[in-house]
Order: sequence, then structure tokens, then C-alpha cells
Amino acid sequence: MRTDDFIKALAADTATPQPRPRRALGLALAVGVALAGILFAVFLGPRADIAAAIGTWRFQLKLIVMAVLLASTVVVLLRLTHPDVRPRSALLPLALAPLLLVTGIAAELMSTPPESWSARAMGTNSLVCLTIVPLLALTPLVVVFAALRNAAPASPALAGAAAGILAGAVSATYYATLCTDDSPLFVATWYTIAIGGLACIAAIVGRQLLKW
Amino acid sequence: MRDTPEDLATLMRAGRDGDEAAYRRALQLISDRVRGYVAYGYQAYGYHGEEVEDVVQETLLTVHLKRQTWDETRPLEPWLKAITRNKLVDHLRRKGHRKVVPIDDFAETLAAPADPGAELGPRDDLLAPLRERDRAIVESISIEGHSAREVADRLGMSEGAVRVALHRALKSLAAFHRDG
Repeated sequence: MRTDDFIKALAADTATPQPRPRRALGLALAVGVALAGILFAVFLGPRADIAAAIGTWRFQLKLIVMAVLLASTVVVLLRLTHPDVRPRSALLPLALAPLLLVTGIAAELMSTPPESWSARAMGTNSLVCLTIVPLLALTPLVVVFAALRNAAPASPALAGAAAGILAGAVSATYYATLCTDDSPLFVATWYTIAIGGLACIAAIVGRQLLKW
Repeated sequence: MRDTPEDLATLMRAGRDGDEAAYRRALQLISDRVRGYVAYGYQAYGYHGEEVEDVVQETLLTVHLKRQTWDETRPLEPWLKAITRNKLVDHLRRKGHRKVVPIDDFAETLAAPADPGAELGPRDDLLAPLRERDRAIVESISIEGHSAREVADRLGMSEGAVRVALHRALKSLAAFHRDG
């Protein structure tokens, strides 16, 4: 077929405009947050002493870190949906949440005796964290992936990883209201493993599924 | 109309908003540019003319299906190069090349060679993977130049159904050439 003829077929297909990545991703995020929230409320729910916990800096910090991770990953993922964006420079905002967490770790190390550090890092909920965070992340992950199918990321693997972090951040934000281990040492250890694992799996899936 | 970047971006914007004539013109201008990029990229590997048009058509298909990923606040050119590069890399991989063509290697303004598709035509049959009916729809709109309305009357379908079938056919074409 001649290229000029083929163009006629393409031009005839303008009636079904595709949603822009920003809109598609925004919608997917809203749906993912809502669905994960419903699942969390129905099956898990926040810890009993949440009213008291809300006043402590450690509890506040872990929620803020997760919220910052969520927001910065949205910014990064949105950039990654465009084929002409150089992935590496787009990733910078992802450093924000870890930096905040490092500040929290420094405060924790200065305010607690060294003998307690190991117990604080291990906590009592590590397995619960490693189970609930990935499980609760599944729904947002699927929805975000569906939205990314109409994107054109320069690196499908990287976009997949970012989607994994995003879903992990949504899930971990809910989980943080349930978990009684508030130490930044615990958050830096187990939340990182859970979200990092999600990112790795999502990168592998993304490499195949987000190819275009 | 002269082919300046501003004009092309304007046409593309109008085309994305549903102006079919503007969109067709935009795709024609884009095909000239893409042909230049592909020929340039191919030269680096010692290939010439014959398969360029295959890559051009697959790139146009991708440009069309991914048109929503062009950010209007950014220039069109780098976006176009990125899409072309993706398709070119796909093609070269299928031929056993592992190295990747850097986007910057495409010259900024490259004169497009004469349309080889006019005489040679592409080597692969682009529409081969389609089902009979989908193929008939795409062919009557493209090669025979009918409107969706006319095709609908001829096949006894509604115009909406023809457009849906066309869209699905284009998507499955892209999927086939991506995974094939």
C-alpha cells in the first residue's frame, strides 16, 4: 500500500480521540486510591489507638514520607509517559521522599539509645508489612497499568517501575495508619523492601506490557 | 502551505481535535520527515531504500495511535524523532542488530528523499495480519479512497460500527507489528 493511501485510513480514525496521559493517569490514580481505600476499610482499618498516634512525630513523619513519595511519583510517572522525555532527568523528584526519611532516621538515632535501634528497625510487624503493602497495591497497580497502555514511555521498564512505586505508595499510606511500628528505622527497612519489590516486579511486567 | 515546524504543530493540534483534513495534511508532512529520519538511520547500518517505507508506515501508525502523548507545550520534532527511533530500533532488532540508534544522530533538518513508496511500495504487506472484513474496511478507505459513510453503506453497517472496526483494526496492526 502506498503511504499516502495509508494516511487516509489513519485520518479517518480521528473520531475516537484517546485521553491525554495526564487525564488517563489522573483518573486511574483516583480509581486506584478509592478502590484500595475501600478494601482497606472493609478488611483492615486503622489501628485502634490512631487518635493518640496522630499526635506523635514518628507517625506523622511516616505518613508525610508516603504522601511525598506518592506525589513525587505521580510527577515522575507523568513525565515518563512521553516518548521524548529523557528518563534519567525525569527521575529526580523521586529523591525527595528518601531524603525526608533520612532526616527522620537522623532524628531517631539522635533521640534514642543505640541498644534500641535494632529492635526499632525490626519492629513486630515486618511480615504483616511485607504482605499487606504488596497485596493492597495490586488494585491501584492494575488500574495505573491500564492507563499507561495508551502512553508511549521511552523506557517501558522504567515506567513500569514508577507505576509499581506509585501503587506501593498508595498502599503503604493506608498501611501506615494500621501499623504500630512508627520508627523511621522500621519504615526505611520494611516499607522500602515492600515498595522496592513491587517496583522490580512492575518493571519486568512493564517491559512487556508497556512496549509500544 | 510551507512545511515549517509551526505549521505542522498547528495542523497536528487541529487534527488531534478531530479536524480530519488538517490531520491528513499533518500526517503527510510527518511522513516526509519520518522518511528522512528512517533513511538516515538506515544508512548508518548500510541499508538502503527498499525497506524504508515499511518503517515509515509503521511509524505513522504509531504516531497516530500515540498522538495523545505529544505534549502541546513542547516542540513536535523531538516527539516525532523519539517515535521514529522506537520503530527503527524494533526493525533493526528483528534484523539482528543490538545497538541502538541515538535520537540525536538524526540530523536536525534533513531533506526527505523522494517518496520511494510512489514507485517501489513497501515490501511487506502491512495489512496481511488483518481479518478479511477489517482488511476490506481499511483498504476501501485507504486505497479506494472511500469515506467511512460510503464503506458503511456498502457493507451494510452503521458508520459508527465502521469507525470502531477501523480503530480496532489499526490497533491490532500495531500490536502485530510490535510483537511480530
